[in-house]
Amino acid sequence: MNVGAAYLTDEEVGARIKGLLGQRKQAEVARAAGMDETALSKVLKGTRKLTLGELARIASVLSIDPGDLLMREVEARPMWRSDADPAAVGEAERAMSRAIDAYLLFDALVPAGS
Amino acid sequence: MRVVPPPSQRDRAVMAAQRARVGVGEEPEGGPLIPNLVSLIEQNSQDPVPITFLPLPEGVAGAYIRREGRPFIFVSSSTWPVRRRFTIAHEYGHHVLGHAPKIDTVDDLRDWTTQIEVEANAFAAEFLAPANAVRRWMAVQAAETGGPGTLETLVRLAHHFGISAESARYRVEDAGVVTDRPTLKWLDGAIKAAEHKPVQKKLGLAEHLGSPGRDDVAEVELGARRQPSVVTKQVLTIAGNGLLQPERISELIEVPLDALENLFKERGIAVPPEDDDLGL
Repeated sequence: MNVGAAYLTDEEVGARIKGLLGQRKQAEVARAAGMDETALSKVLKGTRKLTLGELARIASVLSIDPGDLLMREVEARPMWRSDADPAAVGEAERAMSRAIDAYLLFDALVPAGS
Repeated sequence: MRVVPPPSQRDRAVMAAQRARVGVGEEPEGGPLIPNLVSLIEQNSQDPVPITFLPLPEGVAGAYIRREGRPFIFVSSSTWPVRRRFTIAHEYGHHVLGHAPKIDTVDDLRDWTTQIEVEANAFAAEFLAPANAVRRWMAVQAAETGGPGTLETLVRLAHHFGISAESARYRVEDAGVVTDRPTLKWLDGAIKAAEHKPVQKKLGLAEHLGSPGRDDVAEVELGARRQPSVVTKQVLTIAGNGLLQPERISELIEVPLDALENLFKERGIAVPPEDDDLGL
């Protein structure tokens, strides 16, 4: 399902990063990404853009593809309960996503029906 | 405590149709426990769904995910077979009932208030232990185990269908074999206090670990990864034809290289040298 423009707004990028932080502290993530904590805080609020270098480092710290921080999902993301531990669910979602990426690559090379 | 009634006759008919669709009626040969649940769902000729076992973080039971129009079921391997079996049936329920993609926590599998969870849980319960089969089993067995409302009967029923004692308690109510409120309440209290565990132990049914050779849910080791069978086949073809090098495959499926090489050896796959790599 296409949900509109391909790229997220600055506010949406901030919200996505915030969602991926889980229980990690902002200061710790900012340090790992070589950013000033105030700058990261502004990014999370959507009032400051990420530089390309920051984007790559933040994505690396969060263990996701940089494109996933900027682009809308092509299909609806799976839902989960609001009372679940977001860090655990986020970790599970990334593990499952990697497994599906591999599945789709294998299927492109050797279609399952062949 | 549940606030939603058990599945209607119509829902039961949908579930029975699904059981028939994956090749099992109400009582497959050798008993009602669905043999090789994973293979049944993965190899369903009309609508196969690949099932992946992953050591998911604590609290996450499994997921039903769709990508590029394809369905995927994930289940945590960090749990025992009875729990895995219920999770798989629950996620399959989300698929069959046309629900949206969903990551399920352990609590979701006990949720009897949210509509889609109630439906998926009712589906799983009826899929694994159909009310009719529970009634038939009870008619034969209960007399030998002190009647339908005893812990021993419940433990034997749970073992027979490969479900938890808690699920078995709900099934006896849904199937109408125990209707007496004080007895149901007593069973709830006894299970909550884990009083069924010594009974399981005494009967030699401490953990339902499945029937060897016919329960692929139990064959995956605790905390291990298990790829869908279609992926295993694809990996063998890909490696055998040199489309990807074993190192790359090992990274993609997150399985140690030596384990992968052992698999190739076992299946007689000779991996061509790297020069033949097409550069993918």
